[in-house]
Amino acid sequence: MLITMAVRNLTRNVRRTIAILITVSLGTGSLFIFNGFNVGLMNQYRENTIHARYGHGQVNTKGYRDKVFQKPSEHWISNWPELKINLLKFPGVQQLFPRVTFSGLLTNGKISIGGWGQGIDGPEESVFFNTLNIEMGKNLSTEEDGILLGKGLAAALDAKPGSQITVLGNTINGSMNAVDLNVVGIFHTGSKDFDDTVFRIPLQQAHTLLDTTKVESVAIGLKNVDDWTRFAQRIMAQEGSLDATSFAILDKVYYQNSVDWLNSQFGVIQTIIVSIVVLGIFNTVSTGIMERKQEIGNLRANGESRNDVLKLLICEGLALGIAGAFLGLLLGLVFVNTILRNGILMPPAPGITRQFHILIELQPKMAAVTFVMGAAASTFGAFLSALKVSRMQISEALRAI
Amino acid sequence: MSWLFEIKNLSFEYHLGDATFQALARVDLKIPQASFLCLSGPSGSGKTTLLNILGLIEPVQSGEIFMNGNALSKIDEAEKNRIRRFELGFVFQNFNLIQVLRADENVEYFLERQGIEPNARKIRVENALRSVGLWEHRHKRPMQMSGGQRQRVALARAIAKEPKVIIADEPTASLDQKTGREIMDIFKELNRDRGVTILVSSHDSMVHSVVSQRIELKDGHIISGIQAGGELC
Repeated sequence: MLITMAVRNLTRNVRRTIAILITVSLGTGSLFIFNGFNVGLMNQYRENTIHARYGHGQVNTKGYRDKVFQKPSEHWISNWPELKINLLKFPGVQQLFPRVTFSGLLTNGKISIGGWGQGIDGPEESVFFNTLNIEMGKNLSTEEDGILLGKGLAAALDAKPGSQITVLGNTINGSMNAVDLNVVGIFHTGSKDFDDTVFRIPLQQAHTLLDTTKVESVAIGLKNVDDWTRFAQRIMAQEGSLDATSFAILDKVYYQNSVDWLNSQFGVIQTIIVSIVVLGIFNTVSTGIMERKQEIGNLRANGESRNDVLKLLICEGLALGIAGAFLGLLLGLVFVNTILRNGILMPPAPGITRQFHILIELQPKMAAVTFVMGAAASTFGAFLSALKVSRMQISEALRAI
Repeated sequence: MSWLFEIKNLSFEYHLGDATFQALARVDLKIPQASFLCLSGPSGSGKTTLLNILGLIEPVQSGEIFMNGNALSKIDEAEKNRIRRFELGFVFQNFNLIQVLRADENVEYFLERQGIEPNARKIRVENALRSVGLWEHRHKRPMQMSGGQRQRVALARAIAKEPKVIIADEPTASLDQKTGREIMDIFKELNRDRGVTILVSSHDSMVHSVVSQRIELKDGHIISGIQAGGELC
């Protein structure tokens, strides 16, 4: 009968009940959408990071990333063809992107500028690394003698797609070497330092320039981001001479720090929303409870303990919380599938130079957590209100008007 | 003689800000089992305070009350709740029914809290509502009933608990004379037939004419109705 009474008390003042339901459902709905936005943002940001530069992670020889070497090429991966065959057998591995980096001098015949070259597998990378911003021309793909220039570098060399550029560099043995290439495109990343120095050429051309068949690193494209842990563990177990580093560590400054920072910010906002719900409910429920002091005094006079009264009022808060949280989830679902169906257009994030849409990604686990938070906030609000009245002297409650 | 209540040198003060109001002053009173006693006196004389203390609604501030020989000041909160739940029934001037429950549910609620089985509860509810003439109105909620009917529900609620004592604070004050008389007749019957102690406060002469004994209070003192030592006349 306690539950019957708790539920019926909700019909006592319909307007007040509706006010509480609106408070809880708006709070829960906001939390639901906000969490969905958070997940959408994180996922979008993660995908941007993965598909911009690093893939899901990178493989190097053991300790390579931790030190600076006089002759780095001595520590590069020498058995790339065999390693490629092995790595492709790892579960979840879909694509491999061998790379070398080197310093070089670019010249158009009139001007020479130093830059930082990346030898890449053009056809593979152009598909996977699809978030690179191509300002002119196109991404480096199947062109055997193509070169992709950073925006600043291209401006300095006055280069456009179709321009001829010669790249001068040292072989790994220290001899001078050069390759002639045609500009296929100009990119920008939003990072001026990067765009002013970096250029990309086919791996084969880089190997020719450096006179080596080694690769410095292999970026990994997995079927699913969750496959990384298993992949890294297997690398450690089977390829003792290699290290595997995830994109989150490779891009710690931009990605991981941003994720940590955003998560903290979201935590604060979430706390604010929950606090507003608790205060709103505390305020509304308190008014209702104060109007029932005599009834509560009567319950106490007839043997109900303070805890019994608390239980009754908490039951009411819980019933409202459950109904309100359920409505909130529905509200969130409706919004996400109508007004927010195409997501929210966001300004460029750190490290990204274009706007992007954040899709609100609602998940069952998130719905469950949000539901519990909404119901708990309502119950806690009711508990705070009930605490005061349950501590009242019986005579004081009975005398209340 | 065994006393249901033995009150010794009982005083009680209310504090309203800086002001102190002496509600009861050194009251001595002995109430035997199965009494039908009315506390009378003008407003502010201490009637309600005395009933509240006897009903464990107000604490014993000074002096002592023994209930069946047990000092109330020594009883802990859990035991007080048990006594209120099983041994005391209350009827208030303004009924204090639970608005969201029907008449029968109002009666049944405290029986459920007493831990009585559903079938036994139903029988007690029916008997109680029939005894106050409200069985036909059992599905009505308090707001659908007249003042007299509500007071009967309150009475039925007290009866159904089968308490040893019913404490009724101004039970007829909100009722017309006829209805008030009917309520008092039910009290009389309970006292006579079941030996339930009825403690009523009222300054209604009709009530005074029905009860067996009456004490009068003024300014927190009992001014008539007792002998030396606090025994009822």
